[in-house]
Amino acid sequence: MSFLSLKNVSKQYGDSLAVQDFNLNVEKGEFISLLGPSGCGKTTTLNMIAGFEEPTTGTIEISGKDMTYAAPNTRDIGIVFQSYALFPHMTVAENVGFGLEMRRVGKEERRQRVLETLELVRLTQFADRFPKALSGGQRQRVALARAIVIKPQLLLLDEPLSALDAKIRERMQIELRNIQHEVGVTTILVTHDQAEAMAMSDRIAVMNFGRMARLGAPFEIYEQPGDLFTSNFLGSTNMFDGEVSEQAGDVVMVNCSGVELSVQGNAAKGSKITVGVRPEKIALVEAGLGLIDAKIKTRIFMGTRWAYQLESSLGTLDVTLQNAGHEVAGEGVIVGVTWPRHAIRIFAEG
Amino acid sequence: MKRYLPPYLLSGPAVIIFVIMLAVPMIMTFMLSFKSFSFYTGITPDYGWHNYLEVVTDSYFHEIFFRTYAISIGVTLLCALIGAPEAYILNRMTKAWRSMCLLAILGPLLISVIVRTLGWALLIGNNGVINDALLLLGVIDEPLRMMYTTQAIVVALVHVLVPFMVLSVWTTLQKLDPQVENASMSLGASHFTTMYRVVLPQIMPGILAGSLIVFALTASAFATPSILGGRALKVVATTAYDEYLNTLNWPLGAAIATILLIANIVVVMSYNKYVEHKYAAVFD
Amino acid sequence: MRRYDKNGPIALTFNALFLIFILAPLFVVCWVSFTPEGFLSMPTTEFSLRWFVAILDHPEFISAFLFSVYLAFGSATVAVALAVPAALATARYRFPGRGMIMAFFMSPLMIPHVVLGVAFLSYLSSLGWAGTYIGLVACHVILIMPYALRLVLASVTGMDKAAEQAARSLGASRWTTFRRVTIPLIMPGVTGGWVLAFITSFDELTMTLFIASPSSTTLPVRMYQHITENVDPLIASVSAVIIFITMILMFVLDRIFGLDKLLVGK
Repeated sequence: MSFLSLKNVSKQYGDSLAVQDFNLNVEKGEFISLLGPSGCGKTTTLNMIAGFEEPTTGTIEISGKDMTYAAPNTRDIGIVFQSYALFPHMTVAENVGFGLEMRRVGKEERRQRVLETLELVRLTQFADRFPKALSGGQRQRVALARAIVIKPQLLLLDEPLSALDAKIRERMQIELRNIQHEVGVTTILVTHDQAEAMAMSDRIAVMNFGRMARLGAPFEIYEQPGDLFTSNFLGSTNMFDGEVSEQAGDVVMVNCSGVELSVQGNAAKGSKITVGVRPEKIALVEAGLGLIDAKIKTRIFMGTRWAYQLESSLGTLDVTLQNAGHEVAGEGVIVGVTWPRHAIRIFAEG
Repeated sequence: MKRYLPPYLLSGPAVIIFVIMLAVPMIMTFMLSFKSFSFYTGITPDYGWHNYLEVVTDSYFHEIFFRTYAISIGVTLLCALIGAPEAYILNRMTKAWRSMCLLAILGPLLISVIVRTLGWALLIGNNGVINDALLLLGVIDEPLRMMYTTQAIVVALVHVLVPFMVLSVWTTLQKLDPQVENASMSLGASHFTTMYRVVLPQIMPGILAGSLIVFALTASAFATPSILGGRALKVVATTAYDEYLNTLNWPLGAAIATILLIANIVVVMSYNKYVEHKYAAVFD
Repeated sequence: MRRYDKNGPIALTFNALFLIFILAPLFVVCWVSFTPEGFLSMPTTEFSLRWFVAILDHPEFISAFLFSVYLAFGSATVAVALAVPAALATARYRFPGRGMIMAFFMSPLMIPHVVLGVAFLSYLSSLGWAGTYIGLVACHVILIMPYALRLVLASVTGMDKAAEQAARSLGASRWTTFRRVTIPLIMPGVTGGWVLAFITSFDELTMTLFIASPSSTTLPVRMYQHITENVDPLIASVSAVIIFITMILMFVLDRIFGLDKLLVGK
């Protein structure tokens, strides 16, 4: 019995299906991300869970109770909005206390709980300020405090970090994750940022065109993305089209533009398939020692790593190398390219 | 000094015209208000406070000023009461409907007040539409007397000025984060509480700004009270007009005008100060 | 995100009543103007254009209309010609007295029209300009300047300064930059300001009532004088024509500028 379950949920606007046949079970205490590009239906899904929109078909259950059509103010859900949606005419403390007030929590207890929560998000000294006087990161923490002070059974985060700059965002990811662990609340994060989803979630549901494309733990879906969309959305992948020339056990030989590649997996001989390998799985060796040779077209230094673009008989290859502290091969050099056999994967056929 | 030359040259022509055509006539009117007038000698330059004393002591003028500001307060309250909800409803409409409704509400602002007031005269006249309809339906036996009443002036002025309120509140609503209502609901607030605790306080600056416009314009309204109020229900603006063009007592008319202007300025300034003080910490 | 109307039935009823309240008086004016009778009445079975034809027999309305257009055209043009440099000065430069000058330009908004009328009447008569075209234009310019200035100023401050810097960096002189980049970019605001100024001048009654002479009577003044004597179907048909013309103008304005933007001045 899952804590939150969405069963065959669909949402239709006029002729367009924003979400179709969406199924998801979330366990208590779990941190799940809905990840996808804009327009993939993730925000609509969140709005249906929150009760701001009703599904066209399907049901939403929270701890065993059918909440599909329940009003948002009866669902006991804390939400951190993309715009934070702080009440500009209330102080930080009043903002955080609003939900408790709605629950008719006594004044003294209210004050106590607001203080505790502000301490948790390290904003105690800003209690009497108005939102206008806070920085983006501080506002974000007020929004979080306001959502968790009511001890909701479910916490929804709608692109909560997208309005922050990269540095603060990374720090907030860690902070948010820690607070979620501490409070132990079941959390659903909606985001289009794969790094954010991977950094924070127990499981990720990748969405595309209103459908669930892949569901699994971050490492699992990164390594076995299953389809081209997920693979590309979670990172970049070098793709090669080819034809299976030989099959032996669970290894196939694929002929891609004249190069024979050995790939783990199953595919019928003669079938046309796409295989892919991630840039960081590729190693550069001396010319002639790799699987194929390639010429370095561009080399960009990015601090923690080097980003290469190579010309090879397989086409253009993206390669990233860790910066190990010494100079590496430069533009124009011919190098060998290799990768471990398990790093190359079969994607959808055709 | 030289670097300030361009802006002074650019704004110079307008400043000169404003000095010649606004500052000088206003000062002259102010001076005029201290002069004397009699039917036989016309305007004479014996300066004194007598015109102001007349306005301040004569109960005839008390009644006129009282009526003017009572109407202003009534019109302002009514405009806020119907204009603010209308703006909120507009904001929740689909785009196509909203632009149609906005057109219908704001369009009349482009039509002369005289035409809009005429519409009310035709509606509420003794043989106007409303009386005709009520007589036809047998609700009444004799036409209701609605022309030349304070209520008629109030209703027509609400009609003339409520678009300003809608516009003012609507502008504020556009700055409202559409998510705050959802946020309030998600925290357990009902629709009513969300309205009262979250939406209303945020659109209050718009209501206050709209009220100021409506109040100031009602206090100085001329055409509507003149046509719908007739000779008996005078307001400050129509009184000044009569002193100037009928009685020809220009100094007294100038004094009335000066008082009206100063009252308006005092109201606007103190109101602005109050509003600024109240919202400085909260809104940008 | 707003794909459907979120209003409930009560809100929609309120909206309908509100619209009726706003539109009813205008509708009644148009309705009455089609009466076939010689007195004020609501035509129910028969409609006639006789009162529209009757306007032609009253040249005083036609000449008043033409004079109003003439006056509004002149006043709006002068006001915009003053407003553009004034807007450039106050938006682009920080100089002593800037705030005061701005307040000065905006001050006519705070002065009741009857006060302006009182002031201009005695002033124009002492100058010997009472009832002259130039005198009326001068007074109307003061009255409509805030409207013109507000829209021009909004477009000047809203303009991307980088476009001008780009023109300069590409070798354009100050004057060429102004002519080829600045003017086209602020044109929507200038046009909007002119139109709003024109309408404000055209509609003005109270102040003009003081300073108009029989030979320089505007349409609202003519109508006011007529209404205070008697309310007849003729005045309704004149009003209906104004409503009709304004409606066409309004649709055009809404298409080009957006009515709310024009009236809020942002």
